[in-house]
Amino acid sequence: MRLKLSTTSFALTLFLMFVLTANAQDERPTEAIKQPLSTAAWNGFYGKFRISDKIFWDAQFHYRRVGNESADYFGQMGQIYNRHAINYLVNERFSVSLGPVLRLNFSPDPGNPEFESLVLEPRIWHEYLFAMPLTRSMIYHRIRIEHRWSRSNAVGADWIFRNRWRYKFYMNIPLNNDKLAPGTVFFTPDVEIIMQNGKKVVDSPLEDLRINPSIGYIINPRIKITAGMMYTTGQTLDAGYLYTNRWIFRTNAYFSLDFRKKESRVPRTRLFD
Amino acid sequence: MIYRHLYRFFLSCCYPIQLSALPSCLVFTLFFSLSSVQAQQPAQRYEGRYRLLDSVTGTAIYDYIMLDGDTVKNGNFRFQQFIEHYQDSDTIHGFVLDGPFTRNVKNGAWRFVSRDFTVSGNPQALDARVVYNVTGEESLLKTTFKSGTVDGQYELLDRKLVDSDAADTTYYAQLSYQMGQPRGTLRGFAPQLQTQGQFDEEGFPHGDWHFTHAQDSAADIIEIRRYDHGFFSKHFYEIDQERYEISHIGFDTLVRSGQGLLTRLPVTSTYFRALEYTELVMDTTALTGLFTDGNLQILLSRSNQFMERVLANPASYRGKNVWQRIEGSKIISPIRIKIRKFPFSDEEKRLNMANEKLLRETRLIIANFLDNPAVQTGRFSQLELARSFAAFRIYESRLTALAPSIAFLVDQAAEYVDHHAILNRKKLALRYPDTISYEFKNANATYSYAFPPSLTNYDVAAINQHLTEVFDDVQRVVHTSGAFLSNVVAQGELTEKEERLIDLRDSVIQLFSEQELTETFTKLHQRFSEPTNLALESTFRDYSLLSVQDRLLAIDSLLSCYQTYGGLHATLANLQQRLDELDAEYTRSIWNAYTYTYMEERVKERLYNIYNDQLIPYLLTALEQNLNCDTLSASLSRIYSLLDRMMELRMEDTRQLEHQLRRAPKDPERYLEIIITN
Repeated sequence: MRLKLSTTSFALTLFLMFVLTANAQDERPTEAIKQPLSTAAWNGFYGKFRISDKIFWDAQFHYRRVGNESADYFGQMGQIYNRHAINYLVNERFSVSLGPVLRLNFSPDPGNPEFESLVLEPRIWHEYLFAMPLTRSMIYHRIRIEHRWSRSNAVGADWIFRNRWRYKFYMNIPLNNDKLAPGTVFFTPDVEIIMQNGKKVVDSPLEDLRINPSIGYIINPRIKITAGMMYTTGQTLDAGYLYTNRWIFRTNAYFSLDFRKKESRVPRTRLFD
Repeated sequence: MIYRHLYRFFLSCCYPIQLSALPSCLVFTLFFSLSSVQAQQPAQRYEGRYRLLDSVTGTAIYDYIMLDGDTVKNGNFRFQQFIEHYQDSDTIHGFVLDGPFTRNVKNGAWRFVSRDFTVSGNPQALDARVVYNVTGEESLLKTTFKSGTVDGQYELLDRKLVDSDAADTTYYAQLSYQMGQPRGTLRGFAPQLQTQGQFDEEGFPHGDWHFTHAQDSAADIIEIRRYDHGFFSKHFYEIDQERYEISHIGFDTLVRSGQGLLTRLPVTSTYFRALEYTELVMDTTALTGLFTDGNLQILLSRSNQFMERVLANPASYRGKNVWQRIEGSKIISPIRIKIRKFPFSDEEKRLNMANEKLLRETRLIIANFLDNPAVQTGRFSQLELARSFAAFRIYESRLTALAPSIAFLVDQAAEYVDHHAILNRKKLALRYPDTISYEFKNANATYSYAFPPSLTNYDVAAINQHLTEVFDDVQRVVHTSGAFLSNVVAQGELTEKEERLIDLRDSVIQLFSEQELTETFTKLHQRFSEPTNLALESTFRDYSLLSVQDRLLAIDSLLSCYQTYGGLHATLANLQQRLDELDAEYTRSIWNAYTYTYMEERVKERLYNIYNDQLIPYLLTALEQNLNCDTLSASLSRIYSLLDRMMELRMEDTRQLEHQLRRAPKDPERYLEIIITN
């Protein structure tokens, strides 16, 4: 698959979107339209640092590039993404998180004076994660809710507020072992649906549908890595009949560290106070 | 200290703000700060493995400075040894020794705490931890050192804990030291006892020492020991405010001129033993039902035990001087008392020792003779044996009566009491009959036996002569019976022992051959089955080729050997269990916050891998290849030493050890040396 998206075609697409949007009230297409296929590469670093028996600091960082006419997937900067939260482990099968996000959106057309080169996008997010063992695998149900304030990179664009409602189903299925343990290669089927609402969301409640199978490897009890190709599609904000169409190459590294002091079964204060 | 004074000076000139003095204060402060920086070496902290002077190892944290290239402890020191036995018995024991040093000298409040705990009750979840209560015993010694000399309050405490709560204080004593000498008041208590006494300026007990004995159903009994600057001069019991004096026959409680000088004696168990040798005399007629000679002795012993702990062993815990386990302080000596000594002459000492030895050997010969099965059976058919048996029974009873007096005379404590007075109150009358009665061929008979003359006094030379005559007679009888006895013994013992030997051999072979059917079967049993069978058959074949006399000589060691092989089966089962336990101990379970699962990880990987991949195979191979009676126990002992050491190392900082292992040549013996001796 060789995909090229020139600056001209990008501008044309935007133009079409505006035109179609403007005409939507009067001339709504009779069928959905797919945007031209685009590509991206997301590299994620995920950290969960245990700071007490129940509380973790959840720190995530994404380095995202998008394809352009010069190169698919890695052509230019897309976003930098910082997500943090306090994660509370209710029990070994359920946790909740709450925290801020700051996303840095880079210009879709670097050098074009009509676009700001960098726009910030803050969010507040909270998440509810359910983990369920299934024979030797694990099943996860993740509900994530985000409150986002965003604006496009177009000069003078207005801020808009939206809520995102995300549900994700994924699994970790060990392939070469009977459990998830160091040295295990695992397969992760992963599907996520992202709905949205807000004043500006008129006819595009389905923001994104992500299908993200990946292969992972557990290096040790604290580190695992994954890689996969994600296909996503969803309605564009301004024209509900216009669907995005993306392939995204994803690599992730997950760090699970314990910052607590070592403890003994019998508290030492009892023996050596 | 000088810095503290300078600091006070600084405050005194700056605190009442006087602007005119301020510049000089600032100059002073600057000078002082610079000089302080130069004089004070940077403090550093050590955390890790530490070996006390008595070779006990544990972990320590302490501050130190470097002086002339050497570490000098300066600041707080804390040592702890902590051993868990969860797998075997859920017990945990350890001790802490902590306090401050000033340039390698103990200076400040020091504490020793020992605890022996057993996990009790059910586990309780506390947040994400599992907590157990404990039941056990705790001992505490606490004091203050000034420049390495004990100076300040001194406390000893033993108590029991039940479910982590203090349940019962079994011993408490508190006294004060001033530059190494006890001063002031000693207070303490133990079950049913409260104590209070004073020390004089030289550290001797002085004045009335009160021991209040609580009675279950009657008024408290107050025992009063009056010390005259260390000399035990009066002894009373006080009941309902009435005093009753107790006389100790044989113990000089009167300071009398012309009777020799008093000896200054560090209090030891000998002193209290001497007290208990004395005969107590007290008029108890007015106290019928309340006080008897029996409970008088019990109360005396209770007081003695209390005093012995604090006076004789103030710094001791389980036989070790706790403060001397690390350098930096002078020895805390036992407290001294004064006593009149009744010394033995050199000749008396020699004879007392000789009498004790003669008595011991004679009684041993007699006991062996009387217990000998050949004698037991032969005396009904052999006339000489019957007569000797009857005579030895009489000797046995007489020597048993004499034994306490001989033990008393060789006891060092006898010199601290008037031993003549004590012995003379016990009339000695070792008399022998002219004839003995015995049973022979189902009939009773008498025989005129030449016993030694009677012994009627405690003169050590007379005792020695008497014991010598008894010993000679006993030797003569045993010698003349020897030939008959040796034949009986040889035939009887061999037959019986060979039956046991064969049973034992067969049972061991059976154990190893049927293991597959039992639950405790392990791969180690399978591995050692054939070598064990071969060793048993080979040794039995060699034994069978020996003559009767040689078999008699060899059979005991062979029996012992086969018992060791029998124990090997149980040992191998336990060994597999220990190997599994260590595997679990060196495995850590870690929560992964992304997979929501626990994952296991090997702890101290280099150490464990060397132990598991090299040392255990090496030691098992050595055991298998040298499976014989001479080396079996030693080979097993090496394996268990390694396992014990590995269990200890799990709880210790092993970075240094692992570093040594990494640099060591790949030689199992070298690895063993590093792991076991480190």
